[in-house]
Amino acid sequence: MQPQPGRDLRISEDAGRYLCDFIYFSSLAHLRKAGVRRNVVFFHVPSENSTSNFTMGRELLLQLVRSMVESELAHRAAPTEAELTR
Amino acid sequence: MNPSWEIAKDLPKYLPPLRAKLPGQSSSSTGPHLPPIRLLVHPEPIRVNYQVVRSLIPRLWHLKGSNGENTAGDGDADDAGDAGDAGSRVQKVLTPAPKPKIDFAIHIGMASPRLHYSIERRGHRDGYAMRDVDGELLGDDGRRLREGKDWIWDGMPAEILTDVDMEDVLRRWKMHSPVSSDLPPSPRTDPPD
Repeated sequence: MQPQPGRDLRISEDAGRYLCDFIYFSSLAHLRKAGVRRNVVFFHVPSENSTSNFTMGRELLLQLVRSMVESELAHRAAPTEAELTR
Repeated sequence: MNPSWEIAKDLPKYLPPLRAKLPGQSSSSTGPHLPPIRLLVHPEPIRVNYQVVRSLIPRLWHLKGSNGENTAGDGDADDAGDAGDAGSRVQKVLTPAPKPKIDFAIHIGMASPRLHYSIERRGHRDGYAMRDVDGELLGDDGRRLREGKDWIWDGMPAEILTDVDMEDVLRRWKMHSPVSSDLPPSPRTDPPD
């Protein structure tokens, strides 16, 4: 069994200053200018071309969607002080 | 092949329910009841070209600059994906169908040397020095000087952070996601194309 790409999930502070970072900033700036909440994230996946990488990426993407929606609903149910003054 | 697109292209139309509980998962992984969540996928990979991306984003969001009532509305959530990194081909975006309100978006891209999965907290306005796949530089330094107040990012800070609660999302994401032992070992790796 070959080594698998690490399965760990992380928060990153550097999207790489190429097209990934660029499209992310483009969305963030667009939403900021529109005056709406920036409900957007960038999901970075390993570049490995393997079926297992695609399968894992798809599963993680779906769970990321679920996690974002859950988090939003939890915040609405119990807004933080900052959200109340928004 | 483009991993971002491979991941995005076959997504279901709606977020499926959580998998059956697996041994070793905590009971909290079942999570709260969610409304139906519709997934919209941009119909094709997005070219790794600065100007293509710049012109696509407003259409992707369909917000028209209105000071929207949209605060991640009700029910439908959507997601967007996209993006390639390091010379990669790109991505895809989940995009608007006729006129849906996009509640959430996820851009997808690949990071060459990384062996882990990450979610990015911030985007950067400056420092794009690499040429895109068509050999073009972004050229915003000159554009900013020429266009002044009309520059697309005039008045924007050097970094913009997402409003998503990243720590909370990461915690939930880890809880919902399989660990490697939950997955069948992959019998082979496709050769790079």
